[in-house]
Amino acid sequence: MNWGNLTEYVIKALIIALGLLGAFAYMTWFERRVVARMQNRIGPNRVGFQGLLQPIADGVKLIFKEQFIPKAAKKPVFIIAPMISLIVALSAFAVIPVGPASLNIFGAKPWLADLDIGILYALAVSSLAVYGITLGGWASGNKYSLMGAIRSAAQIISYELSLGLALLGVVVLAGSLNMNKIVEAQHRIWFFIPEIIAFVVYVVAAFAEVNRAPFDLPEAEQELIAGYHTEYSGLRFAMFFASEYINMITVSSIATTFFLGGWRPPFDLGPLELGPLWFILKIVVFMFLFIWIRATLPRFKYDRLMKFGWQVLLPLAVLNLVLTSIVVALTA
Amino acid sequence: MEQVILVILGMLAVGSALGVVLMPSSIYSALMLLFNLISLANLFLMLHAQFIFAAQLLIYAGAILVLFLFVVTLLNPEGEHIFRDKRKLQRAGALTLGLVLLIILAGGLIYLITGGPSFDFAPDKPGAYPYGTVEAFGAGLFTQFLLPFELTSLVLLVALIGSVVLGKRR
Repeated sequence: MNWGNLTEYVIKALIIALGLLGAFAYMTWFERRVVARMQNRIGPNRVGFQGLLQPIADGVKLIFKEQFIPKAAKKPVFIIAPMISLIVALSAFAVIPVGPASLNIFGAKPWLADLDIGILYALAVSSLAVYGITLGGWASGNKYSLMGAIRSAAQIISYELSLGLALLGVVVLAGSLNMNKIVEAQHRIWFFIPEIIAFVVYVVAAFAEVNRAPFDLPEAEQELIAGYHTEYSGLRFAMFFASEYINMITVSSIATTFFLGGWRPPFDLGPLELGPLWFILKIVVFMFLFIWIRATLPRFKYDRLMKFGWQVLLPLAVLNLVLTSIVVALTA
Repeated sequence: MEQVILVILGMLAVGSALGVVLMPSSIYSALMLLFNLISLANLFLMLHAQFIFAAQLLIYAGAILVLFLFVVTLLNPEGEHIFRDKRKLQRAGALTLGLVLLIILAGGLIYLITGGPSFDFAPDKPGAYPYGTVEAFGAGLFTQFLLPFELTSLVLLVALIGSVVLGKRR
């Protein structure tokens, strides 16, 4: 490692972090507009053209708001928890390739790290996300927050298994854990066709993993006010909010890389160097799916959620893994 | 550069391990344990053991410690602290066991420094997988260490069935 490499990493990390935060800001606008349309409303359209400056106004508002700390809160943990959430959410993205190796700027490749254990790194880092939520809920000193945190921890641990097992099917097909090699292996056919069961299991588990509707029990407003972030305000609330949306982007980009050919254009149309644009397009499709489902489906009951995760998704994921392994072993 | 990072990580690991024991409240102990597990994972990474790094984070930090935290946040045990523990026998036992562990670890360290086995990170024979990769780990698990691996899975299966039986008995 030398200093030139180090600057390259730092610049790339900054681009990823700022890009994800910007994407988060505009995701909120996108979500509010789309949900409004689906509910026959208009949504925010006053600040700037079509409300495009709304996220900036919201950001400024959140920065200048008072960061209230309740009397019953455990102060150090209360302050650290949102930071853990945001750091974990931002670092999981590091291994995801957004373009082909032929696309490089002054020799800098379009990914931050090309690890041999690629997907294991992403899963390992995102498995730490539960700490931010649990600690935040516990440190608030409020029973609604604690209930939300505990629900969330149980839910995330349960669905993580199905999530990982669904991805393993693709790993067996591609014969590598490296994200670039997995994208490379999809040059003939995108893996969501042979691995359709894994794809469905992954998408369902990913919805639960990022606490989105219909699995948004940790922040079910009718029963828990706002769950683990009830007591948070100002910038600390923004950190929790941002990490939820960045996690959505990360699980979508893992789904894109594993099942939808990553940055590859459909049928390899056009130059491969347009990869990042295709990548972003695929993520936007996933984001639309997240919003669409939120506007469509009612929330699960808690016991149903657990039952569904352990008794339906997990066996399906295992079955898919066994079938894939048999087929790969027979054809190899 | 690597030496410096190794030393810093080692100090973090030892410091956080001390923190686990000395912290006044069990939730802070759990947090220190998390810190310790992450430092250990990074130590593994610096030693080229990529798979162990990921497994350490996924299994210990991502699953087991979350369950610890679960119990601590739900029961909220306050006032349990090593220096305030009145039970003489338990304290003496803990001290003895701690000393034994310390002696064993120190002995191992001295043996390693004064002419123990030396490690070579290059693959043994041409064509073998490099040390620490997932492939090398898997190959070792299913050839050289197949019996211990299968025995471990048997033990885990017993524990699994045991927990189901305990859970059903109500």
